[in-house]
Amino acid sequence: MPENRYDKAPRPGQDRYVAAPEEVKVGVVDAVSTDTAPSSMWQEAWREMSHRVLFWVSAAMIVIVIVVAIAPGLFTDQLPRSGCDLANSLLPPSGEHFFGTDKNGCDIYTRTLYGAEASVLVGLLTTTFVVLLGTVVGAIAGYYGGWLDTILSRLTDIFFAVPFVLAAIVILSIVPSRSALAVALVLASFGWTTIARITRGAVLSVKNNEFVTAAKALGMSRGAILWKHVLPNSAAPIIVYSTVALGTFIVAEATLTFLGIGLDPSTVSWGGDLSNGRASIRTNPEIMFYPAAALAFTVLGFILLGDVVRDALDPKARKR
Amino acid sequence: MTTTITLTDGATEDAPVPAEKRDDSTPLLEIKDLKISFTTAAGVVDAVRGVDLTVYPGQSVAIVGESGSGKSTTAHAIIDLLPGTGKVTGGSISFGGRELVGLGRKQTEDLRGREIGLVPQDPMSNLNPVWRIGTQIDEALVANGFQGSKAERTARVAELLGEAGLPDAERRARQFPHEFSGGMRQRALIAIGLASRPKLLIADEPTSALDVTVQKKILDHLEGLTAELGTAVLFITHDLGLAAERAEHLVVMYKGKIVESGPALQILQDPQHEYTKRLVASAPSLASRRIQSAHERGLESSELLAEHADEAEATVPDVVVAKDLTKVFHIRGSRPGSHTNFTAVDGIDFTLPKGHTLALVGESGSGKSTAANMVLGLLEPTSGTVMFDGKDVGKMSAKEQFSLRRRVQPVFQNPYGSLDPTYSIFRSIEEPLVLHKVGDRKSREARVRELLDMVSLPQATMRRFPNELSGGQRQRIAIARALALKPEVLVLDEAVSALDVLVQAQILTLLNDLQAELGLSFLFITHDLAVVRQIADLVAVMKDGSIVEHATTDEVFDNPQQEYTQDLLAAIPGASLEIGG
Amino acid sequence: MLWYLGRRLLQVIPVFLGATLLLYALVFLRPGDPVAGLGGERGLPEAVQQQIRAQFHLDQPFIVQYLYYLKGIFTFDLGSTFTGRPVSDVVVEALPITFQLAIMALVIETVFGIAFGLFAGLRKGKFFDSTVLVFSLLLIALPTFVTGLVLQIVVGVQLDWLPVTAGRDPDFVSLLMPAVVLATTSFAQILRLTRTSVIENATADFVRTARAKGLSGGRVVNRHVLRNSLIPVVTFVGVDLGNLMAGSIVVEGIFNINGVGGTLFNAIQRGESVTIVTLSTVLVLIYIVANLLVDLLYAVLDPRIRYA
Repeated sequence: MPENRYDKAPRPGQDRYVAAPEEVKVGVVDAVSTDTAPSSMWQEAWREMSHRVLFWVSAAMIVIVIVVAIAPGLFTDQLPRSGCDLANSLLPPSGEHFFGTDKNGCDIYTRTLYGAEASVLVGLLTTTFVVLLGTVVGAIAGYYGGWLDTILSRLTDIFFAVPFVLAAIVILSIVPSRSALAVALVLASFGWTTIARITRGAVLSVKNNEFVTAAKALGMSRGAILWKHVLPNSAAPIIVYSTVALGTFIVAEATLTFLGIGLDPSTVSWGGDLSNGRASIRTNPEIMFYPAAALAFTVLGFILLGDVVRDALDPKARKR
Repeated sequence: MTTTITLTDGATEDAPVPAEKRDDSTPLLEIKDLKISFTTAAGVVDAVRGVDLTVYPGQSVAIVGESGSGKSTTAHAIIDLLPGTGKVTGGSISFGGRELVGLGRKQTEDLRGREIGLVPQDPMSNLNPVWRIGTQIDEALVANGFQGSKAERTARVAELLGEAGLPDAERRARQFPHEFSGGMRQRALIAIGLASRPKLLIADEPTSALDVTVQKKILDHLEGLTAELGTAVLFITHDLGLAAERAEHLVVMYKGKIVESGPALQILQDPQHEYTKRLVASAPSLASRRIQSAHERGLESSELLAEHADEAEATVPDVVVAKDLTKVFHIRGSRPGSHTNFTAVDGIDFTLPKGHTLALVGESGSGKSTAANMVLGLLEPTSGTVMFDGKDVGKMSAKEQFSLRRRVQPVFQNPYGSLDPTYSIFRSIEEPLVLHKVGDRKSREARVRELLDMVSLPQATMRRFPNELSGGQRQRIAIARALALKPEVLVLDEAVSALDVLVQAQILTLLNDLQAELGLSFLFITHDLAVVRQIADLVAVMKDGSIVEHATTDEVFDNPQQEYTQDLLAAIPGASLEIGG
Repeated sequence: MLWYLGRRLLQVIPVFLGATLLLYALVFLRPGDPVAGLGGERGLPEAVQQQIRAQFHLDQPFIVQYLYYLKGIFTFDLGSTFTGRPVSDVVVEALPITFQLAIMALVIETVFGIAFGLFAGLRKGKFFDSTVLVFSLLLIALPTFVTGLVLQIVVGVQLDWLPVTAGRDPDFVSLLMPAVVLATTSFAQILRLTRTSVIENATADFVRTARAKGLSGGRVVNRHVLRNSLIPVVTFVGVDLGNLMAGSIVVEGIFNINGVGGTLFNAIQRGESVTIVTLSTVLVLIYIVANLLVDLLYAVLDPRIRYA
């Protein structure tokens, strides 16, 4: 250490300088700010979301779809099946038939409205099943670790190795009844793996936090820690994924029904109507427009919402 | 104040001053009234508000300040690497007589590396994980006009790594960053920073993520190297002791302004501004140095410290006794079937007398936190015992162990991880009371208020959430939660290590007060010997799982028996400084 | 690297066994007796039924039947379709077309996805970025068969730029539209993923260090931002191969392409469950192998995996 370094006289521009006390006020060290209202992480996420136009747009889209799915009769007085009359086949749009009629003489407007129910039902049911199963498997694997993790993770890998639409095709090709519930169960039986992996990852990263260790040091049981601390802190990625997944499952159902292996042909659904309309694709392509648009509108609603929710819940995304 | 000199692009094109004709009397870097602001959602934030700074060729200058003081922002502005929305809004930066503010992109790229090098802060995140170390140094050579074949460059890369103090440089150059330890990465970053022999090296907290002994070695090496090359160094650091030891000129920044600047030793010995005074009084490295020099002059160190428990140690019972404590971890290898046993803690003994503070000191990997976790009952010892108040914890029934939890509580290092972000402060502090069925709802609320008073936080804080509090405040909440059940022992696992200097001093004072008031015993886990001087009565120095030295704080500081302890002491920044008491 | 490869190969074995067992169990558990259903209304004589059961090992316990089925996979004896053609013949004929289509789609989605994503990420918040972001969500929301039908109507029928259907022995031009359709959703997702990781990497410490070294802007983007952003994209492509398989059924069906997907599509339309199951199994096997390849590519890109 060259001591003489300190003996040199200050050079020009490096003279001793002390700021005037009033120029730089030294505040209380680490004062608590009291000027804002207390708000939790969730409240902040909500505030973040409610400032975005896209949130309200997507919420409105979803509300519209759900209202139509619950009570299509509010918007039309015709019926999707019994109202069909082969004599009215392929009519152009008119005051009576807003979107015209299809080959079987059914009112396309009415069928499009009534088709919402099947899509929304399958989407909601599948998402519910998938979240329940995936969260339980992922949380147990991630939290308890050890051989339980090995077994559950391998199991997840195996189910993951079968793309869920392919699996659904195989299963649906052999089940006799294909109600909305059946289709949802089939989709969920192979669709839960992603959420299990997401949950496992989230739980793994949360469980090493010091607040979890602190709870352990308080003598809290493992189950209670999982339920009270780990799961609530792992919720954000699960919520984001399930919103987007809901849209994906609606697409999957429509695809399967379009292929002729999804919902029973007697069910009014967008996938089924698109499949029927395909026969006259060269002559009357416009028939397919309405169910396709309704489908895209619904899926877009959920995907948009998922996107907004992700921005609000992921602090890393928020900074951008 | 100062007129900004704008040169046309053509005039500035590639006009470096040759090193051999260096004129040491004209400044190399001259910053005048620099202003920088960031645009955020909440509006424009002024991060730097009128900073002046002068660096002469070959000189070392340090900017000292806490997080958020604007010290790094100032440094990054020099090479036009302000993050995000940061913008220079006023003033000038002149380097070798050439104005840098508003310099074109190409000119700035030519300047970086070749004229001004950077050694960044965090060695873990500053190397690209997908490229070999050698490739990343080679890039710097190519970008800065190194003339030579591939083989010559490879040789040069090895030379640079060797020069930065990495043995076996040729082999190391072919490795990836994840195969390097933190210290080795920092050396690689120094090699990159000096690769093209810049005239100025900006060292942004170059060693704050490293163990103290490694930090000292690297800083010594860097000092020698830059002295040999005649490189000027601009240190950015939060550690006043380190700054004074490494630089001749100090600039102290606070909230975007310079509060005091001048010759290093002068500032240390005679701080003028209120803020500098506080900083000098709080910096652990300086405080411990001051205690030490006072002690050498014959004063009792206890008189210099905050209130301490009585020194009559012989009569005080031991509350925690660890005997032959050992913990072996089984580590699964990357290859199938390959297991290794890692002995994290290897048969250690220590005692914590009631109402006292025992510091377990060691560098990363020394096993100090593993030992703490065994005392907390979070880890089962492989062998050996922890006795609490004369009873063997390992032989306790589940019920006894549960009630023992009330008597030993932890406070952890990371203020951002130690509170559940989904819990309100009230719920966080109340949780231990609920779990151990203490009182009813009303009495629990009264207790939470009382605890907030104890840690000097307003009672209204209890309605808030962790994301609204600073690191120091969160750490206070963590202390309040740990105290909720009126424990006898607190295990403080690096509890102040992540905090800014002044906040750290504040928390240490708080802990001292609480100890005196409540008769608490502290097991204080830390890597920082300087802090130990301020708080501990007894010290146990750990290395590779064993305790190498266990004595009173005075004995350890006055008369360290082991070479390792001596190294640790010597590595405290500012250890060599002569400062008045 | 060798250890990684070996470990990864070892991991495939349980996944392969598990997945095939699962698929086989699904078929095995199917209600009704497959043999009793043969021979139309009156059914086959009991003796013939017995003989068929013995021939197809249907009288054996489940696990033995599964082992015969596994043997079939390894000897490429995949049974026969409804019309009596061996499934293996169908696969041999259809696989090259499916491969061609899949590779075209993969190239389209990765090249354009990465390019647009990089461009948007570097211009975060600008007009191009915002437009591309909203547009990509629209593409994700559109089911593959809807995109397919729309393009068929617009580009094929109304504009008459590209052939509406591919038919036998499709050439590059006739596969172009199906490949674009197949790539659409993944393109949008790769774009978004690339954009996110470009933004993340652009602010990473090591990128700042690279700039501080004096590297030019282009080199920083190429060697540090883009290179590191490819890692999550490759992971995604691996996971997304499953969607590509499912998508190929729809696309090949709509465009009348004689690939594995198209054959499966027709089998579904006709309700030939045996063919459906065997072809799906073939797709699952391809998926497992493809995923293995992607994992190796991942290891090449990320040394931390290679040496872990």
